[in-house]
Amino acid sequence: MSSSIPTIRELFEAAIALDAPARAEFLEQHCPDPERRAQVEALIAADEDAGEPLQTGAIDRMASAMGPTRLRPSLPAGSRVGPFELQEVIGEGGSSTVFHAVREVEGVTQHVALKLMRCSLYSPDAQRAFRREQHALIQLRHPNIARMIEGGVNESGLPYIALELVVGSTITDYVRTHQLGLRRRLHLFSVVCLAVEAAHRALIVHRDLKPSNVLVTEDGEVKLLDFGIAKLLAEDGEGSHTQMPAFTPAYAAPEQQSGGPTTTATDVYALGVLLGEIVTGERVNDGSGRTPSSRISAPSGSARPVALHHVTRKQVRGDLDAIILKALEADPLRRYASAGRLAEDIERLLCSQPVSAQPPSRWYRAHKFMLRHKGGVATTVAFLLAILAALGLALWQARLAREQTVLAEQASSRAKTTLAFIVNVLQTASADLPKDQRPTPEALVREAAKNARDDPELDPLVRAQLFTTLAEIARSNGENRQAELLIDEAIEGLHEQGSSPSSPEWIAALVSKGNLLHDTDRTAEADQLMLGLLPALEGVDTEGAVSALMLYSATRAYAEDTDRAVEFGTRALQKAQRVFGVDSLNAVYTAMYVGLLANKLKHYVEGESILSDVVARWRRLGLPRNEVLARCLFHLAKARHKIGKAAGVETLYREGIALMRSVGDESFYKISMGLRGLADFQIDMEKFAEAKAVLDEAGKISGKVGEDSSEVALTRLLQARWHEERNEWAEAERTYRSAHAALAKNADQGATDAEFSRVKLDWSRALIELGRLDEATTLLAHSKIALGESSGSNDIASPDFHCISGELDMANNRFESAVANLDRGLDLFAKLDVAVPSSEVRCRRSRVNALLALNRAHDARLEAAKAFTRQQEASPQAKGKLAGLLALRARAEQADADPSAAAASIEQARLLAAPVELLSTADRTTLEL
Amino acid sequence: MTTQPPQDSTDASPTDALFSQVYDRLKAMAGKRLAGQARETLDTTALVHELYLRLGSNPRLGFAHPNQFFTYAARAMRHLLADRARDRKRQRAGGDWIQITLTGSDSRLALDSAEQALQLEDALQRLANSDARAAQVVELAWFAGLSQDQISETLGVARSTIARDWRFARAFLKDQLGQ
Repeated sequence: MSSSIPTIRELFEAAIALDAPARAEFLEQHCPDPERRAQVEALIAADEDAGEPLQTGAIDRMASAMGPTRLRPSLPAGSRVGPFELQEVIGEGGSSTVFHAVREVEGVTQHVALKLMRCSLYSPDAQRAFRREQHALIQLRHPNIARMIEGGVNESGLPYIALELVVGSTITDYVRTHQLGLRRRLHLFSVVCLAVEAAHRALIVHRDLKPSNVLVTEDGEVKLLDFGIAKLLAEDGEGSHTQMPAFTPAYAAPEQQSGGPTTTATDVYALGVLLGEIVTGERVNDGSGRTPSSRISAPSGSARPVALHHVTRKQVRGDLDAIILKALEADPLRRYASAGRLAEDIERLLCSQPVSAQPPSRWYRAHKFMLRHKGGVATTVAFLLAILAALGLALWQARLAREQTVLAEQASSRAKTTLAFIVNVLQTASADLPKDQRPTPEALVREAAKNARDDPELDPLVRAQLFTTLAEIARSNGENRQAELLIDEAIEGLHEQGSSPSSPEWIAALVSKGNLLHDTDRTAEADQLMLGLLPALEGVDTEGAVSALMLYSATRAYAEDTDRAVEFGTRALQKAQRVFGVDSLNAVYTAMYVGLLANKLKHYVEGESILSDVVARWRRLGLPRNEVLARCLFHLAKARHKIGKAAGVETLYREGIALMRSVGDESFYKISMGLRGLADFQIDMEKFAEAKAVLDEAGKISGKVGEDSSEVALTRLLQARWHEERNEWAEAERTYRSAHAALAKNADQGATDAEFSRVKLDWSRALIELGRLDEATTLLAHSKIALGESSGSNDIASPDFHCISGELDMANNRFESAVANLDRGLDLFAKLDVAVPSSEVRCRRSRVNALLALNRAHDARLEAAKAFTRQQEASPQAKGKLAGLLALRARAEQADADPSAAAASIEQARLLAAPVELLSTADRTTLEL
Repeated sequence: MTTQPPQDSTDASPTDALFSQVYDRLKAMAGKRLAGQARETLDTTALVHELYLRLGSNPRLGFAHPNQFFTYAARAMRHLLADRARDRKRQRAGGDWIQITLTGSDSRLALDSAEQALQLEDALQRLANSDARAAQVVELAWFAGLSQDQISETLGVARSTIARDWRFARAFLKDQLGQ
């Protein structure tokens, strides 16, 4: 227990661990306040008492009893809803009231059926979805579908829909009262099917087909009511798999009842129920398992009111039974592929041709195929995740075109078709299969692609998008060959369709291809592909366009075209902010990418400004404190360190490290990235003791990754620098050697190229200091070969090479050559568009010594002054370095015969009170320390 | 530990973007359910899990870990219950234009439930003041239906610690709620 006053909980926990007498004594001693004591005792009593604080389900009961917050308004006749005046109520549904309503349009009275909902649409998403859907429905024109005239929201926020007013009777009543024979019934039904098919072609699913929605007028004309209304009213912006009970259970397909995806197959099922009812007079899906024909009573003696003297059991038995049962298959894949196919079978029946109801469909075969295939459970899960990610993109894309309602409806239906298609495929991968029989992701993708290819009814655009989606899935599974075949097929399909290069599907396909090329080390090809796409992206504000710009920026970065990399990264960022909003996750992530890119290219000023904004926004928006944020913090800290904004750098590193630590074991090694950054900063600040502790920890963590991993090598590099900065050259040399060895083992990974040439240079410098000049010469020659391969404008190794060559010259007493090399090095430093003060200062320091050796004391003095100023600008905290540079300046001033200036320099250096052990022997002597 | 949903009182408007998304969705879902079938009992846990299926796996929402979703959803569900209870009480006070068509006994039950829900909320707030994590454990158990193992995973806290949190919370709430 802590020394302060124990909390109630501490008292409680300590007390319940004791037996009764000890407990009383304990409370006596630790809880003198009678009120607190009573509180603890009450808790102990409650603890000992059985039973829970709340009964099971109590919360659910409370919520239910309180009921919906808004209750139903009642509207009298004569009330206005939108432009309409209500007349009488003509129907009451579960969630709406239907009125006969009228309005005047250019002097003519228009009569409509007005459906007024009882509940308002809660979320803005649902309201948008309502408007979007209603637009699509108004576009739907078909002689056998009651037209939707208008939709809107009344003053009280309740949505309403005005529909063409149809006067007629339900199809089941009609066939009965008109005593129609089987052929006329089937003709009527076939008209229904064709109307449904037409709506499906317009990508609208009815979702609630039942006799009361299928009317026949006195003229014998079929009119389908409420097309798409179920969705319109159930929609809350979550896509078609949202299943609020906006259907009629008796006619609902099994997948609808179980909350599965609603597709055109759902309507096919309802048509099956309807057909059964039209021919037998009964709902045939009552779970009894009886065939439709068996429901028709024998002609001999029946007195049932629904008796259908005009349809006989014999007429229905066989083909018609098969047709109805096929439409009613529980598995959507085994039903008719479309309402049109069902109509065709009815027509065939009427022409006495063989029906197609019997042979198993392609889907059915595909289903079987996958049942036979084997695969592991882990891969299946990975596959599912990949699909979710890919679908997220497809659905997102669909949402982008929201403003253009028709396009939006088509796009979102396409995305939903894609979803339904894949869900269908996945049903076979579900968990009820034994592990060893689950299909592999590879097999699933192949089979899905084959189905998409072979399905003649698939809209070509949907097919192409499906290929893009499958390619993305294959790519995320690492199946690059398969992915490439698929994406090429998608591009070809889009090409044949005459897709515009600025259409979302075209851009998505090319970005996917570009990513694939980039993944498979064909970055130059990806670069060309994106370059070709650039003109089409002008003015296109879509997610795809953002991705394309990002990819181009990345490929430019690979080509070391830093200017364009940053330029296009910035353009991607601006677009992302327009498309998604500045505070959207996508925009924040894009900004982060650009910030990291700028850092990687050593454009620390831009990196710092972008990443500062990203981190501030991340905090303000309350985004999750995760690994991504930790990385961001590391990079922001590094950018601040490199541009000399030392304040707060350490705090940022510490926060990122703590965060990374909290994320979990699997990313543990990423902590060492932050630790190294922190150590690098602390070394520059000459906080050696702290840096040592940090490096020890980094060493421990990176050691876990692997004995000689590149992680270990990177940590050793810093450990060596730590020794070097303290003039511990023998230790530095040994450590550089071992870092070099570790890097050599990882050299083929490419990512460590820069570090590899870096360590050669640093190691050779240590060798020079130790007087091992032959080794240094050989090593430097090697590093030159390595350097020849890379020479970007930000390559700091190149000037360093010349500076160290100069140091080697000095060690060999070739001072003229040394000055030439050092001048060349300084010249190269000046040409870099980034500042590397530590290397530059070191180079200047060497140049001072070389000039002194050549008796050019005045030049040496000027150079020493420059070196000091440069160091002071870059990191005024490094007292040891500053003192050393002042000592050097004093020697130059001495040589230039200016003892008073030298004395002032010495005085200035001594005032810095730098730790003596950080000074070289020569400097100590100069400063008389 | 991972991100926490905002710790504000239920009166303040939540500022967290993710939180308000989750809250709005749950509210829409619950509202629709209750409007549709007056006689059915609302299953709050099922709502949370249904929402999880829809949102939890959505990478754009930026949940660092799927489990993190539950900390948000449970908090949102709790707020929702308290908000609804306040609404219900306000309606009786005549502050709403909507006609109340509930029958007498329904109305009584609704008001009693609202009272009960507010007591529960009060008790949870007091628990949170005394021990924030214990309150969160209760929240996850009651409003998201998570088991102790799942809570331990979600909060990244050892199972034994969760059990201790629960024992304290249970005694605390029993005492507060007088059961």
